[in-house]
Amino acid sequence: MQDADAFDAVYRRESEMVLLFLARRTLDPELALELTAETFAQAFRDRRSFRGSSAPEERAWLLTIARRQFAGFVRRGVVERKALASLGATVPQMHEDDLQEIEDRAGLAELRRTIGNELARLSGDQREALRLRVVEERSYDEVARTLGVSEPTARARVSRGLRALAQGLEHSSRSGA
Amino acid sequence: MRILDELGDELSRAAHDAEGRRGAGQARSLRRTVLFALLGLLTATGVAVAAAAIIKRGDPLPTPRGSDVPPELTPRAGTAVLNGLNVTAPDGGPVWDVRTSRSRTGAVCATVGQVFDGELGIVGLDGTFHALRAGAADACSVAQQDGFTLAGARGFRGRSGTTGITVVSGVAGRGVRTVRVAAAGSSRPLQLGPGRAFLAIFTGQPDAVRPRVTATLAGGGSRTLRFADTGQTLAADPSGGAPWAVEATPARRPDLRCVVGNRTKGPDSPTPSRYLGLSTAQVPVRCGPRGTAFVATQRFVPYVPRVGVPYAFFWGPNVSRTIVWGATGGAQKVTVLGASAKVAVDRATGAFMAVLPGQVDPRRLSVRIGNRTLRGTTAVGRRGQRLATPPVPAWRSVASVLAAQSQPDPFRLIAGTVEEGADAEDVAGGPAWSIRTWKARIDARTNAPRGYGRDLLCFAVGQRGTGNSLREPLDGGRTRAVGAGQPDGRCNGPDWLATHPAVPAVLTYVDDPGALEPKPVRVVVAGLLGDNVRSAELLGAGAPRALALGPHGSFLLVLDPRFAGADLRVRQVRATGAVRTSRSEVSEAACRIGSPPVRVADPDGGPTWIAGIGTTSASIVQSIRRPSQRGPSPKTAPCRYVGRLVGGRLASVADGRAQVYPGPGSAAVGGTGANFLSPGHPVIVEVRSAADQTQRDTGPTTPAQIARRTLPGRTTITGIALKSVTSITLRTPRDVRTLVPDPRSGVFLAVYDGPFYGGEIVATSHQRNGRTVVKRVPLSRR
Repeated sequence: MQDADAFDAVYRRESEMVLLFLARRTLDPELALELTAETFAQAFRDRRSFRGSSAPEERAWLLTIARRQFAGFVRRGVVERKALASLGATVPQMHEDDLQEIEDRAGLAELRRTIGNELARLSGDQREALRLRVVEERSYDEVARTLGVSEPTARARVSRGLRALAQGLEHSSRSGA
Repeated sequence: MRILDELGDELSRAAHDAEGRRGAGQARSLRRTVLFALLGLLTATGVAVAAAAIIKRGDPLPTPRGSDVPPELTPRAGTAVLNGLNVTAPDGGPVWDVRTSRSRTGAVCATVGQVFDGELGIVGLDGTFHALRAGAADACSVAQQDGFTLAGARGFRGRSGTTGITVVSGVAGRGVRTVRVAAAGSSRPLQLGPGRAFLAIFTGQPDAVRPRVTATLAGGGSRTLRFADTGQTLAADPSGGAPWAVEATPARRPDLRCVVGNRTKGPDSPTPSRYLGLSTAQVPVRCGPRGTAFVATQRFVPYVPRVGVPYAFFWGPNVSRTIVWGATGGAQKVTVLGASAKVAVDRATGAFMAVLPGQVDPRRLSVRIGNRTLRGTTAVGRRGQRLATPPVPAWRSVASVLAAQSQPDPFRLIAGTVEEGADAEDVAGGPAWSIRTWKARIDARTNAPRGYGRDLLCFAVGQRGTGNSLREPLDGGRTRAVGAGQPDGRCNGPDWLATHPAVPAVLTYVDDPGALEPKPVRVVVAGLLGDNVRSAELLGAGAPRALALGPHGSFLLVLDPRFAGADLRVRQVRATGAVRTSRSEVSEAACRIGSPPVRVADPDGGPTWIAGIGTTSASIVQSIRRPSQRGPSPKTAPCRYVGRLVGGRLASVADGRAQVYPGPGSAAVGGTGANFLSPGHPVIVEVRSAADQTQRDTGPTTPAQIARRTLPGRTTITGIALKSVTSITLRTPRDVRTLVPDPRSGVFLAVYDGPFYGGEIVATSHQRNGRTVVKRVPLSRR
C-alpha cells in the first residue's frame, strides 16, 4: 500500500471487514464508522512504514490499527481524528438505513442478546448491576439507586460481575445464523 | 454498503489530494464489491484384573425419567446385546465393552461401560460397580450403510482434573470393512463386534487425546471423524495436561520462515487464577532463513500483565516452562540434548517444539537437527532482526505471583466492629442459623472510589460451626466459612440506607442439588435495613411476621421450605414514620416458561435440563430496549431460555452450592432469534461450555460424580431452527448425535458432561425438501 491507488484497492477489499470488526466491539454503528475512517486515514498516513506484501498481512496491519483505535476510544472516551484531520477528510453523515444495515450485518442485535445470555448466568445481584451498568450504560449512581444499594456496593457488584463474566466467556463460544 | 462507499470516496479524494494528483479524472470512486467476513466475537498402565474380589457392587445407576428421553433415544426391551470387545483400560478395572440395542423407533443405540459378572456398568471412583440398565443408552442414531452410525470419544474422570481415560467407541455401518483409530501418535485397527460396535481406550481426556477414527468402506473410499482433533501438530506438556500447538506463521520477509507455538486450552490451561481476560501461554514468533534450521531456547516464568504495557507475545500468569522451538532445514529428526524431552515436528513445515519443566536451565540445552547441533537461540525476529540473548529469569511459582498481585475483595473489615444478631432455629434440623454484622471500608486497591463517606455496614448469615465460626452449607455435605472478612459479605452505605429500603436476601437451600428433584429444605431470609428503621415485617409468607431487628436493623428468619419461590417482601416503618416496602431480587422475570419445553436428562442424573420459548417481563423488556427503538414499549417479549426444572419451575443450580435460584441459567432476552432464520441459515446454534471452577481442587463432590465418573462442568448446545428442519446432526469433540427440534418452537438441546476446550461443532440441518445446510462453530479461542 505505497500509493493512493493501492490504498483504494485495500479500502475496497477490507473496509467492510474493519467496520464490522469495530461494530462488534463498540455495538454502535456510528461510532464504528468514525473509528473505521480514522483507521484507514492512519493506515494511509503510515503506509510507508508497512512492510508486508500480501493481503493477509495488510489485513493484519489494518486490524492492529483498528484495535489501537478501539483501545484508545475505550481509554479516552473520544474518537481520535488526528489522521483524518491531517488528511483533510471528513466522515459522511450516517442515515437510518445505513445504521440498520450495519446492525444487521454485524449481528449486533444477536450480540447484545449474547451478552445478555452471559449476564443471565451471574448471581442475581451481579447480573442486575452489570445489566444496568454495561447494557444500559447507566451511571454508578443510577445503578445504585435502581438496585437499592450504595454506590460503592454497586461498583463492587459490577467489579465482581465483570470478573465472573470474563471467566464465563473464556469457555463460551457462540454462533448466530 | 452505501455509507462505506461514501466514506471511500471521501478518503480516496483526500488520499489522492495528499499525493498531489488531484483532478477529476484521477479521483477514484470506490465502489465496493467485496462482501464481508465476520470475525469472532471475542477474542479452557495398569494391568486389568478381574478384580472381583475387591470391587463392591452398588445399586444400578438410575435411568432417566421417560419424559426426559424421546422415543428415538429409548432402547426397546429385549434388543440389547454385548459386543464382547473386552478392552482393557490403562487405569485397570474390569474390561470395557459396548452394548448395542434398538430404539423404539428402530434406531441403533449404544452404551459403553465395564463388564462385571456378565453385566454392563461403571466401576466408580470409590471402587463400587453400578450396573447400567438396558432401558437407557448413551446415544442412538439411524443406521448408516457407509461410515459411522454412531461414534464418540467420551471422557471418564480420574482422580485429578487432568487424568482419567478417553473411551472411543461407536457402531460402524454395514458397508464398513475396517475401522482404525489414531491417537497419541499411533494408529491401530479395531475389532468389530456382532453389533458392529468398536472400542478403544486411551489415557487422558478427549481434548488431550484428540482421537481420530477412520472407516474403510467395502465399496472403496473411507470416512474419518476427528474428535477434538484440529489437525495441529501438538507438543506434550510435562504436566500431561493440555498440549502445545506449534505451527509455521507468515514472516515479514519472503526469505524468512517463522514458527510460533501456544498452549491449547484444557482443565489446567490457562493456569487457574482469578484474573480477567486470561489467555493461554504463547511463545514469541521466531524466524530463520528458508531452508536452514534454526532454534530458540528460553525459560518463561509467570508474570501479571499490566494495563497499558504492550506485549509481543502473551505468557501472563501461566506456569513456568523451558521451551525449545524452531524449524528444521528439511524433514529431519530433532533431538533435545541435555534433558529428556519429546519433540513434536510438523512434517509439512518443519516447525518443531519441545516443552520442558520450568526448572530446566535453558543454558544446559542444545538441539540436534539432522547432523547439526544448535545451542541457545540462533533464530531471528520476524523482520530478520538479530535478537539479543534472552535473560534467564529465576523460576517462580504461579501462586507466588498471584499472591502478590491478587485483586482483593472490595470490602475491608474494620476490626472490632463485628456484632452478633439473634440466632434462628434451623427448620431442617441442622445447626442454628445466625446473622453477623460488621463495618467495612472500601479497599483502596480496588477500582472503587477513594474517600467514600462513612464506613459501610455489612452482614452475612450462616449456620453456627465450631468455635465462633459461621458456615454456609454446600453440596455433598461440604460447608464454607462466611462472615466478617470473608468474600461475598453483603454491604451497604449507611447514608444510602437512611433514605432507601434495603432489599432482603432470600436463599433457597435444597437437600441435594444433584438429585433429579432437589427438595427445598429451608428458605433463609435476611437483611440489614440500617439504623433509621423503627420496625419491619415480612410479607408473603403467610400472615405478616414481625421482624426482630438486631444491630443496624439486621434481621434473620429461617422459613419452612413451602415458601420456596414465594413473593417475599419486607415492609419497614422508618424513624420518620414513612412506610417503605422492598422485594427480593427475582431473576425469574428474565424469562418464564411458556409452551412445554424440550427436556434432556442430566448426565449425572441431576435436575432435568430444559430449553424453550418463554416470556420476558415488561420491566426487563423496557430495560433492554435501545434508545433508538421507536414506538410504545411492548408489555412482554418472547425469550429463549436454557435452565433446569426444579419443582415444576425454571431454575438454575450453581456449581458446588446447595441452593437453587429461580429463573433461567441463560436466556436470550427480548427475542428468540427466529427472525434471523432463513432457508440459507435455517438454524442458530449456541454453545455454552463451562468448567466447574469449584472442583479444580476438591475433586468430585457428589455421589453421582463418583459413581458415574462424569466430568465436572457442562456443555450445552441449544438453538432454534426453522419449522422446515426435520433433524440436526451435531458433530462435537465428543460424539455425533442427531436431534429432532421441537415441532412447535423449533428449539433443540443437547447436554454433555465436561467442557469442550477445542475443535469445532458441526451442525448439519436436514430440511424437509431434502436439502442440508452445514454450520460450523469453532470452539478454540486463545
